[in-house]
Amino acid sequence: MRTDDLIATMAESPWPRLSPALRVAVALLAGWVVALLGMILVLGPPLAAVPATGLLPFTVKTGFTAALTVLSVFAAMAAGRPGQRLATRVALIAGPFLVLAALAGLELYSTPPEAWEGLLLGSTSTTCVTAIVLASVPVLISVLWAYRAFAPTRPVVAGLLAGTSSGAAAAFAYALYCPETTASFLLASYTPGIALAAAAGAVLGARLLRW
Amino acid sequence: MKQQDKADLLEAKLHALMLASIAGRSGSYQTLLRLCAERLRAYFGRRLIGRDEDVEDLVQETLMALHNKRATYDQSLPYTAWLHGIARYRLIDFLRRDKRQLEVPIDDAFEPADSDAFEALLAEIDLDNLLIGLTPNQVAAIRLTRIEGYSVREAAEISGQSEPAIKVNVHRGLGRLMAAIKGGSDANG
Repeated sequence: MRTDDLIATMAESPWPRLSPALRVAVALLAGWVVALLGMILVLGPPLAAVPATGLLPFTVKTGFTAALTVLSVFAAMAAGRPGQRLATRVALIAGPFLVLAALAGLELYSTPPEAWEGLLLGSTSTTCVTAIVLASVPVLISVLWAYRAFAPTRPVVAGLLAGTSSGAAAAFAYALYCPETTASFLLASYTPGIALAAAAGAVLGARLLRW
Repeated sequence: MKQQDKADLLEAKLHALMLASIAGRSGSYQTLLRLCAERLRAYFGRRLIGRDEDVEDLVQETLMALHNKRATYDQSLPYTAWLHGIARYRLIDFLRRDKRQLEVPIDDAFEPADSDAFEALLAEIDLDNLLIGLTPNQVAAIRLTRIEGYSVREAAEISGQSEPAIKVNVHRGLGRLMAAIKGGSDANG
């Protein structure tokens, strides 16, 4: 086919109505709803632990995971637009972790070292990591599927960021159940689950996000 | 006109055409794709010297990528950065596939003259030295038409010189270049 004919054919087709960003946002929400339904089936109704933990720990948990979700989704979307600068957006993802690390530092500082293990792992650490990893599966599948509308020039980085978004969204769902109260626990037990989802995203991204 | 101004002018034109395309003007979109095809031909041509068929295949592949991924363009960003990002990705992908197809024979010998890109680099270095003796307008005219691969009309638009001026500058510039090359070889010999 001659290049001019190709151009003429392409110029006739209508402009797409749905933006890739909207697709990914809808996919993230849909995957998140599936993850939440799974948690309701296994763990019962959400928010049951809030009266016991108090509102402040609940706010820290949901605030951290929500901020992480939003920042990593924005970074993931930037990674899907050729020519877009990434460094600042990726660096911003460290923000919620730094705030959390500062809070955890204060907790650890005011606690004798013998009690640190209880502070970091609580009594539900295994449940927490398992729940976040399992909940991130439907979110990751859904997000990666929608993400193919983007044009990532570095598919592994894009997959990593999509995985981080999925893990963070799953962690947000679990934060509605989590009975723990400390920032130290959040840092030590939410991070591995999110990191596993991010790694899965990077591995899958290398295969699925090429175009 | 400086190199930066030319790049800005090109960016302004492409960006305006893209906005019109998004607004549904298919004529603008066709013009935009034609300009992109020209840019891509020059971009790939410089990197795959002497492989015109591969270059044209790559141009078409990249045009299709530009078209299929057109919704990923963010209107607040430079169009040329987006175009370059996609062209670069397609080029890397092509080189990767190309490498896989190549079979290296067992008695493969190292031939210094083997690499087109290397020769092009050498030629570019020589050229930079030679171009020092010319006027800025001559340098711009020769660069745009003979190295970047623009037509005389496009070179005139980009550089702000008239079409006859481009032709005259290319002609005179090349004349002086020839004289410089002869003079240089005389001096060496």
